[in-house]
Amino acid sequence: MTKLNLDLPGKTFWGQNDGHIDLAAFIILKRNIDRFLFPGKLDKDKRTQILSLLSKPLIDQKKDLLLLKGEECSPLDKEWLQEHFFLANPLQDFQKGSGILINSGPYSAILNVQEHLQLRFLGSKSELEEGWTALSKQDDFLQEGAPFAFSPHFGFLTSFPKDAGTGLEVEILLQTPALSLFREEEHLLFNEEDRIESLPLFSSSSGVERGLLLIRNKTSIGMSEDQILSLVKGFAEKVISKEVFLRKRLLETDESGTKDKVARAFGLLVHSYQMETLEAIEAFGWMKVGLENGWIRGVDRRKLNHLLVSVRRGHLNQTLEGDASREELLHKRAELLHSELKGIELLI
Amino acid sequence: MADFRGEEKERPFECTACRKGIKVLYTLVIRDVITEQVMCGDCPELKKRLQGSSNLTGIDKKLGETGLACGSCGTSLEQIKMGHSLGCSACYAVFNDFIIQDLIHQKALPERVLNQKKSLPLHIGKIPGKVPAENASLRLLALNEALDETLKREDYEEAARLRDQIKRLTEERHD
Repeated sequence: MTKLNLDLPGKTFWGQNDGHIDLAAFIILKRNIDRFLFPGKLDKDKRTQILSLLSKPLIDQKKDLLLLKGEECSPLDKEWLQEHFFLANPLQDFQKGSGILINSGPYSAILNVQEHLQLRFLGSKSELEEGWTALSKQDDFLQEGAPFAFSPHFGFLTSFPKDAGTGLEVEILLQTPALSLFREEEHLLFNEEDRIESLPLFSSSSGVERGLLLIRNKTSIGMSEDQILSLVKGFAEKVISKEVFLRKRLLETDESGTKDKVARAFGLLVHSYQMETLEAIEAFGWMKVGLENGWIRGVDRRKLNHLLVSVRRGHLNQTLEGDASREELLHKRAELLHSELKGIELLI
Repeated sequence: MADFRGEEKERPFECTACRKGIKVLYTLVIRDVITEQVMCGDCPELKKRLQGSSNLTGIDKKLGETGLACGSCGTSLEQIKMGHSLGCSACYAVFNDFIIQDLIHQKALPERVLNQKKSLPLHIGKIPGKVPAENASLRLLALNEALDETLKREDYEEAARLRDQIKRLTEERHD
């Protein structure tokens, strides 16, 4: 667990993130080494061989990269990695022979999780082209040493055919409190574009998260890298325009109701004794609406964006240096919010 | 604001059986043991559990009855239809017909590909070992398609960026 207390990209990026509606963008480039079975069929020895084959040139190139091996990570470490969008199914995927290479920069690599290699970029939406160029260079560099599985017909070969072709997945995380109130508008947007899907991030027994939307290309086959980047960015722009429009409409049609939502979010974050992650995440969205209307003072977007990850269970447990009970955690989350939001004022 | 009080429980992003987006929480109760699994709406595993494995239609049924399996990794067609991952590169050749049918069924192929000749490759992106110039025709095709789409949705900033790329690539080809 101690390894993840270092200055890793999640902390660096989320600590400096000034995003308004678009919070983060991810690029994932999936590759498998030619003539090896895909990870799902590989035995442990072969997985370890691939781990070494791929991690060595990357570490030689960037000496500060840290290799976290699946078998060395505690469940809490894995949860931290999931909360920072590195792993989808950490407990199932991140097993012996798997690993992740990370440093404080925006680039990382996941090894033997679904594919032999997932080169990753984490940044803002405006940095996507730059991120893709860098990942493509890394891809070329690794390809020279260990050719990747490729067929002229299907492109780069992956464990699931819909991920073949370019092997490129582009994701954008958006904060959309107004859109979450108008679910029919959200459905309309997705009905217009069947090449994009949204992913639920997490849930509790009483609901799923509201006000956050992670969108990505549904498939990477039959489209070029430029098309995928343009498709996902274009769809994100549509969502952002819709969110801006709906916020404006809310103000015009129900200003009191909107102020009430902001004031309730404020009260919840500042005065709760126990706080659920989902409640906090929903409240952050309305705090941003309050900020843009000048109804709240004493906090900025950067702090609210950072709290979005620091209130999560794994992250909180890392800072508490232990596996706190559920009750302790709920209270610690509320305490963290009180201390981070000290001095905040509601002006309505 | 909704009250989200309840047991806090992280959920994976994707269907635990086939990795698509989650739509269904499948709860299995056997005596006093309760297991929960998240699945996508059209998960073959879900269909199998609800309707049994005989629910194969059309091409699925025809292919399913052959008992086809990959000689390199042992993955069977039945497993692929259940949503399991492919085991190796050779699976793409062995299950070629099913993979293409399934991609069409999932609406995972763009219109351009559906309308093109079967002999043409599905892939139009980067090719390993080839410098971009060798792949320029396909890249130009893709950029022009992206430009058309961008103009349709009136995203002029992105359209300008794509136009610059097309211009640069066209000039490079003439040099």
